Amino acid sequence: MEAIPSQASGTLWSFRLANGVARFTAGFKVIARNRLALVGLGLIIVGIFCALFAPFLVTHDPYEINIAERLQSPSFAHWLGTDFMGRDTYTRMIFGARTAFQVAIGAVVLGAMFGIPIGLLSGYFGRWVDMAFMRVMDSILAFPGRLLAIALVASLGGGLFSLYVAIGVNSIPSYARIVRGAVLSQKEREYVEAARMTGEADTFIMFRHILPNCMAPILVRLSLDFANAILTESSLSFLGLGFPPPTPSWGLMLKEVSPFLELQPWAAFFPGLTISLMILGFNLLGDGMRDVFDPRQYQR
Amino acid sequence: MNTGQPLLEVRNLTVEFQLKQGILRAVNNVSFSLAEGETLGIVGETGSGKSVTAFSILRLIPSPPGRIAGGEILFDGKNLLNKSEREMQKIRGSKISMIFQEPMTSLNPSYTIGQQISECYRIHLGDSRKVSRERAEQVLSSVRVPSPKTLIDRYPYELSGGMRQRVMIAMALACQPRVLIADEPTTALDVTIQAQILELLKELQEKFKMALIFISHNLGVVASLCNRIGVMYAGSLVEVSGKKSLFTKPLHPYTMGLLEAIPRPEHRDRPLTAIPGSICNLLDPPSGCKFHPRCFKAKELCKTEPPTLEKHSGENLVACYFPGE
Amino acid sequence: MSMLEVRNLTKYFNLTSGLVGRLLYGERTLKAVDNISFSIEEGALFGLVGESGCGKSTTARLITRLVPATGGEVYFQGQNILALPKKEVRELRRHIQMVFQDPYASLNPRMRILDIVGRPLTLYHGVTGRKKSAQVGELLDLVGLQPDQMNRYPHEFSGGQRQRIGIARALATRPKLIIADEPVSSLDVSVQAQVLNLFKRLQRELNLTLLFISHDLNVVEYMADVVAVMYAGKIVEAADTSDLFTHRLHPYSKGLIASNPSIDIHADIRKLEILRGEVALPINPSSGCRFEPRCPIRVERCKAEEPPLESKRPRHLAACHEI
Repeated sequence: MEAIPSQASGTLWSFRLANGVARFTAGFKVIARNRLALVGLGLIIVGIFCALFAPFLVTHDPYEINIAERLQSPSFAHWLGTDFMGRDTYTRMIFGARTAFQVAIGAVVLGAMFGIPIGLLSGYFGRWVDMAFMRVMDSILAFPGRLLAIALVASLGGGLFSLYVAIGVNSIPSYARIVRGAVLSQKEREYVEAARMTGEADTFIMFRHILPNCMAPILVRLSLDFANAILTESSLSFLGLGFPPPTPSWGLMLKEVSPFLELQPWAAFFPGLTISLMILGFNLLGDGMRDVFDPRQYQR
Repeated sequence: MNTGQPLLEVRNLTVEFQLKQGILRAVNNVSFSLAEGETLGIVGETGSGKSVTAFSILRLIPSPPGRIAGGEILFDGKNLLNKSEREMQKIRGSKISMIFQEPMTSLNPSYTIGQQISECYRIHLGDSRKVSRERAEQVLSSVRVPSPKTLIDRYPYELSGGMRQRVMIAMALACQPRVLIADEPTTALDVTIQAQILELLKELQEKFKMALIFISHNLGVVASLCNRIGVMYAGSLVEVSGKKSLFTKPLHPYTMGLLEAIPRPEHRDRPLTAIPGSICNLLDPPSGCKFHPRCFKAKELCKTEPPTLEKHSGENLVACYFPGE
Repeated sequence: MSMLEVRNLTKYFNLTSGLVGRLLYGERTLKAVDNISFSIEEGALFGLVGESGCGKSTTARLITRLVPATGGEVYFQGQNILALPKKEVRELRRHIQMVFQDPYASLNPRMRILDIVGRPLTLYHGVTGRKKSAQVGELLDLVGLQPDQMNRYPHEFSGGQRQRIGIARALATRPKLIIADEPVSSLDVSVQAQVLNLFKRLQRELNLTLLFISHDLNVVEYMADVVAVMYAGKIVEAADTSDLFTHRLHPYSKGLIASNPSIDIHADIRKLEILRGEVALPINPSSGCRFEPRCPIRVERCKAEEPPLESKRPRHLAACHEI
């Protein structure tokens, strides 16, 4: 039994690299087949782009106050008009993407980071572990989502971290439940029995065998969660509990503009539209993501 | 009733499925006939097209993605493919009936057995509730279930697999059809229960003088019930022979292979003669005879021109250039 | 010393759930495997045959410790493996491996064949990298697959090929005993023949001991040296294969073998001795013989007294009062 000579192993590595690239492009092709998912992806990419490159995309300073030019309609100088303090709406919209994504990423990561392992442990070990975790999840679920978020923000004070916690905690039970359900259905499947027969440790089976086969619902949930996080942040800001003024936040912009809606009806239009588009984008992408992770999509 | 003319005649039936990857031809130019009261078995493995053929007779192929791309299905001389959906509904369950492999999914879990059987009488014969219930009881006793009177009010989940299959047979026979199509009805059952069901089918077939098309992947099962057996491979009928001829003098190399592959205790000391390879990709089948890549007799001719099903001897048909020993 | 000796192996499942269930339905116990004993010689192919609910699959999972047993002992090369602490069970799996029924469900759809077959090599022989690929290649070759396919995923293979992959995985740890749970039941006849041939060849070449579970009598008669017939959690008959099929003693074996559809052209379904009634599930079974409700030769004694499995002919055991 000889080891493969080094030349061949070089080929093996390049094969692996090529394989990895091939899989990525194959994955992309699957999304590409679903046109709506592509639209969703496009919307999100635009949003992320704005968030990342905000300073290079804007025409004004988001904080620059110019009372003389307040509440103007869209014009050449101000592409989307100005708000009640004379700040350029377009600029604040772009920076709004930054705040929205900042919060969304943190909150979603927090929710998934806790929810997924809880679901795995609950589903895999069952019995009292399951009961204990699920009761905790139930207590979180007992609160109406927005109410819980409000209560948490109020008690933790303002700031980015409290927003993470407020929005993230809400989604922990969803991940836990989804993963737990998926684990329960996968646990009795023969490939798990086979893995136990090959002597795999429990943690290995949970994370490397079962979890990848649960990715589909997790990813869909992730997308929906992003959407939800953005919406919640906007709602909290709208209520004055999120980012404090003068932070450019879409929700805050809606709040600021509400007394003036009679004068400037479309001032609410743009932030509202962007929130809707972002949420739509994540929803569409969620559907597409599910297809990517279904190995049967790749059948010849 | 026409004598001389076959009861059911399938001519050049072709069924295709439109898939993302291309067009899959599940049934390719299949022709056979069924006389009044005759028992025909159709044997094939996965991908042979036997179930699709059966479903096509009753036009139960979901379309899209499937479609009947060609051929005729003559029942009593009239082409079923030309009939409207309404006309087909009158035929299904009353003139031509079908029983399926999984009785649990074929029975509606929300209705009692009695309700489901009575439905056949109410729809096809226009019977009243009372009359149809009586008839349901009668047909249940003819499929030899214990205590039909109590069973009639039970739900499918309360019954075992064998019992459910009997109920399905009862439903299929309710209106005394002239043709019964059985698609792998015993595959999901235990061996001893299977024997009971096969015995029942044989008895009922003889009693009601029904024509029977029995589809299975198991040659032994088909042998116990059918006088004539057709063998399908990758969408085509490769051989149709009488029971005796098929087992003693198989004509097509695939049939020979199937018979050789059945484990027999006499041959314990040597390996089973397995057919090499596996079934071709139906989306991109090989040229010529679809069996040629696995055939021990394959010659140049087999790779270019697909053979047609032709008379060989007596009643036996085969689609091969080099049939027999 | 026999390779595997099973003594009084028992597994009961408690079906009642919760207080309400208990009040409404009473205690319901599924005695899936009830006090069975048998032994397998080294290098033999032992067939375990029965219909659904007889306990044959549960037996397999009890022996491999995938499911905890309620009672009894299983001696593997003299050592009671049911008494082993959890840590040592892993070591045990080096010697006892399993091949599963469903070729579509027993392979992780997300893992490449290289990893599916290679993991046991890494875990038990510490083999990684190039050595691992080389050995996986050898194993694939041994089961009749192309080694260069190891980077593919299970869905790219046919049912028969996947089953071969499962066999390759089971062979990776170089086990002495392989338990095959209905390994060919999901396969077409022509593919089944290929896999059966493979099993026989491997058994010969590697001197494997096999516990072969099936409901298909043709397969068992062809493959096995010794056969045990199970019904409702109990072994009702056990003998050398040719003996059992020629001199079927137990009425259930008779009925089972008679029900087997054969391609004998003179067979007529009505002439077979068909068993009546349903296949029994051993839920709260009676204290008598479990086959009694269906038995054509039953007497009063059978209802009350369970017949022991004892020798009725040389090397031929049966559990029946009437033979």
